[in-house]
Amino acid sequence: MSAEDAATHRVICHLGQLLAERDMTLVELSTRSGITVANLSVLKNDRARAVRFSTLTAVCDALGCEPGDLFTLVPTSRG
Amino acid sequence: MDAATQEEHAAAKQLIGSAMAVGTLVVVACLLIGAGIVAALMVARGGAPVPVEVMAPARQEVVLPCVEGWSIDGISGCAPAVSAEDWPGGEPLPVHRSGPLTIYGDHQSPAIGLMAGAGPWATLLASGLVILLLVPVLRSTAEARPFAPGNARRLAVASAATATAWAMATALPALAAPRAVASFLAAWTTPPTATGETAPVPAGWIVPDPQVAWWPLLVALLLGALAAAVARGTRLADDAEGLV
Repeated sequence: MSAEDAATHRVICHLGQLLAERDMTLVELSTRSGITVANLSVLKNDRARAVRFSTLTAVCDALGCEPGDLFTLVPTSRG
Repeated sequence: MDAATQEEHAAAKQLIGSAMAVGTLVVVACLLIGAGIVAALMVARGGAPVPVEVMAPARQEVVLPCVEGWSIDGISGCAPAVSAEDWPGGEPLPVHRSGPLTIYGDHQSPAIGLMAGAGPWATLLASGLVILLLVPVLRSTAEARPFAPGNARRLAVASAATATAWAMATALPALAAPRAVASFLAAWTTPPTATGETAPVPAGWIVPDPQVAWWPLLVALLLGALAAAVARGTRLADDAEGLV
């Protein structure tokens, strides 16, 4: 995540954790969801700045999860 | 030769062709800028003729008053002509050989020469600068990156350079023409008459009449519009970056 992106949002993606829990690779998820490995890699490494609903639907269908399982909002640091 | 090798050769040829085109454009641009500087120095130092557009019918390459019985530069018998007794009489004379009036640099100051000859040197400088600015834009566009960082700024600068050169090439000669003509006429007398007398050229005989060419302004406006479109496209591309 770039410094500019970090300053504008606090959303963290848990795709890596969800993949590990399902013993699934990015390539396998790509095959199941139809999303390119490059885009899934961007999502997994928190370099995404926006996600299409269609991407979210495909990933959640392939992983059997809800959008809320993929993302959490990091609380603001106080002090 | 297998397919992969053929592809490599084709890519290498394309790379060499692209590099040669870019190199040629850069050399041409540098030559144009150099020529512009030399042209400016020459008109400033009086080493080059300064064109001045004047009002018809005295829009001359060489101003030759048609006076009966005169022979100038081996030319005689022009028409219509006036009798020698009628000139100088303070009135414009019939002339022939139409074309732009060219004033040589002996009779004007460097500043006037630089201003009157602004058309050529401003055009050369701006052309070189615009080519140098557009080469990176063309390269990135050829590489399918029309919204590469800096392209909008380069196009905007090219537009501004074109507009500035047009303004200089239009306004400076118009400002300098009256003084250039005045200094030229002040140093020029009529050919001697039969009695050996000379006289100054009548006042108002040559009147500057600068012409305005509008097409460079259209080029500047088009470049400006392209710069605005590329700036908008760059913002949209930035927004789309990171979208999955």
